Amino acid sequence: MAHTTPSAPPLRETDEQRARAWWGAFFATALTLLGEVAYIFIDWRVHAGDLTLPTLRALHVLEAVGLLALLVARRRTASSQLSAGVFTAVALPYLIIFAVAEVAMAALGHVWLPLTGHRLLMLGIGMLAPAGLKVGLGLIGAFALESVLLWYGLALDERLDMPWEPWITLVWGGTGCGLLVFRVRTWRIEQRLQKARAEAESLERVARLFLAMRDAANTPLQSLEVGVSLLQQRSPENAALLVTMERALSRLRSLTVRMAIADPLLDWDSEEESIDAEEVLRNLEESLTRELERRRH
Amino acid sequence: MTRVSKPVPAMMWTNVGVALKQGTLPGSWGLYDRQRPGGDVQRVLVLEDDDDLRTLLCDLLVASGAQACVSAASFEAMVRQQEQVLQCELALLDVNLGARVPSGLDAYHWLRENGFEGRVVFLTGHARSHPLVRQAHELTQARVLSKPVNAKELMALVRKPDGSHDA
Repeated sequence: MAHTTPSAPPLRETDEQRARAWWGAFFATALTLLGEVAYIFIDWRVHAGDLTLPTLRALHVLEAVGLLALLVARRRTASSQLSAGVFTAVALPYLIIFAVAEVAMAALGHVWLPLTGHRLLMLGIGMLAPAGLKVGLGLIGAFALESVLLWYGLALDERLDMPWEPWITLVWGGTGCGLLVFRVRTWRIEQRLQKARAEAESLERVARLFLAMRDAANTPLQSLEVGVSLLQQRSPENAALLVTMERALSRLRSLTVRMAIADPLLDWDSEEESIDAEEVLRNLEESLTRELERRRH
Repeated sequence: MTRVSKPVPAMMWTNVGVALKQGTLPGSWGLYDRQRPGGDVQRVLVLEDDDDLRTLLCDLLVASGAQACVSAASFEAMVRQQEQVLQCELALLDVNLGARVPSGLDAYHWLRENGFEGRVVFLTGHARSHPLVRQAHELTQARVLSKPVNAKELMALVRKPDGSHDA
């Protein structure tokens, strides 16, 4: 007889995963909104008469407002992919804005700390990027690369006496990557623990169901066992019929014995815990109803 | 002898036992008035909350040689029959007598505290891991049988190994 191996269903994205990704994207977008609003005024003052940077920042603010609205509208249904997409969409414009800002600052000739935005953003990505290495590492890599290109492209190494740059910026990038890897690793451990816990709970539920069914079946089975035995004594003329009943009983008996395999999985909370099969079955039915309700919403 | 066609109420078994002992069993209770090989043997107590099983167990044990069967569906019903119960030599106690009511373990302790010296056999259809069942297993002066128990094993409780019945 051919046996089919049931394939494991794909892991469903949990509510917690979605919520974490949503909050990461929401925070990043909200911080961008606040930061860029502040920088519109700062750039307005620093680059008086040049509206390029304030305009770019205003456009970024508008984008952030739109993305925030999208996140709020989809706060219950947003997938992790959507949150990751929002995070990327809000981070990428910084590549242009930072490049324009560094060029503008270099042109002004003021004393300034170059690549500050890159450093802060790389740390921010490490702390807030939705769990998943690809998006976070990709963004940190892009900002690290841009910082090196800007440093050498604008010949900042010749104009500024900062022998530690752009290496210190790369160290910040590495720190951002470290933070991200730590978060992803912690998240994966939590995910594995959650899965193990869910499996253990599910197994215990099955064990209780087995036990309740076995308990409910054992007393009637015992009645049948005794009844058949009495009939064998009192109606020997029905021996053939009783043998078939005995065989059927034996099959039922072995079934209940097999159900006992789940016994060791049970963790009884107290001596008073009910072993009333009806109550256990009723509790299981209530749990199933609650779960069905939860899935409907 | 013909079997009584109508179901026998649980509490009636006590009367059957007493009547058998006193030789005053009514004619309609012929099933328990028959002569058995080995003669009168022992009185048994069956404490079981399931009406059908309780009736059948008494039936089987009496048919297997028990002198009489005192049956009760609950701890309280057992206590009410204290005098007859304490005269039994074998007690067959269901561990679980229902939710939030005294268990077979409580019945065991009551029996021992009141001077019951017979054998005690627990019947359980429940997980060995449950604290109540574990406690029953830990009692050195009691056996624990898991339902469904083979009828021969139940009959053996009132029979001697050589096929005769306990005196």
